[in-house]
Amino acid sequence: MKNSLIILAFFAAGVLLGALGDAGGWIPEALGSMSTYVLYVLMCLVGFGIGGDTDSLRVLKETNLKIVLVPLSIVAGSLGGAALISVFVQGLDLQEVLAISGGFGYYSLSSLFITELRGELPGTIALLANIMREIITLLMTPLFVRWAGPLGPIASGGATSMDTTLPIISLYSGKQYAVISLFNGIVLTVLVPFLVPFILSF
Amino acid sequence: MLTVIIIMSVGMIAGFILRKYKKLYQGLDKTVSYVIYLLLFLLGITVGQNETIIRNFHLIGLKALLITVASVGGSILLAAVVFHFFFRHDHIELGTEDDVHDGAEVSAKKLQGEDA
Repeated sequence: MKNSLIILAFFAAGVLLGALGDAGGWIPEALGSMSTYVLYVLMCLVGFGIGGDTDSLRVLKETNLKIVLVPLSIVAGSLGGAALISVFVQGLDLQEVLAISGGFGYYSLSSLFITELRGELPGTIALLANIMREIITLLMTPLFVRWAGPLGPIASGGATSMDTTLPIISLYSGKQYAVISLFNGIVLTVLVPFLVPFILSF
Repeated sequence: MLTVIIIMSVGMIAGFILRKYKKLYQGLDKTVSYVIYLLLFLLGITVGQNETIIRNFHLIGLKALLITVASVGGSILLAAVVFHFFFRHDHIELGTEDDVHDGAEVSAKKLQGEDA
């Protein structure tokens, strides 16, 4: 929990600085692209840790086919959960709610698809919802591990479990789960551009 | 997305080649934590700068939050079921060997205690 609070504090400080700094006009343009490079550094470090960890390779061998159950349960769980609450979301129909849920945290692509197929309002909600999914995972991973076991944050992270949320998942679920997390993220990321238009096509 | 995977693969290969040099891995988890803090700070700045998100946050944000919480909740629930029936055994085996972060260690011990 302490770590989540530190992360939240850093994020809140960033939001504050972003909101104030943007009004004052003293935030350099390069900052947006800088985070991409920081992510690259992070991914290299994470890869280094996984590569040096002989346990993770062994897990992939031992887990074999049941690893497929991870993305499968996440797709079913996400869409099921979204379907249940869709009656409470005013202004959006079931398909739109399902499509937003079917972004699995891949906000750039899913919001683009939804904006194109259903307009700007569901598109913007898709962007926010999927950014939130990433942020919730980054902030609450320690709790999710405690509540649901090491697959908890992988489920929450969805498509982001292969890049942005992988470091924190690897840290709290254990390095053995980094390979499962990576696999899950790749499967869901590939699935999003097919699933979102498919849901909206009916 | 592809760049990230390539960069990580390069890191993995380097890590695999250098896996005998244990000293290189000692401070790695801490460094990863600090880089995550930096990344979250930068993400915060991007969100703070986005006027559309900030100004309409209370209206569309609530709907987005509801959908996200339901999706995350549903998927975590099913993932917990999958873990319970298919992965628990492997976890206990490996959890004792790996020098994981205290958060994961606590949960691993808790799981062992409950399931032993």
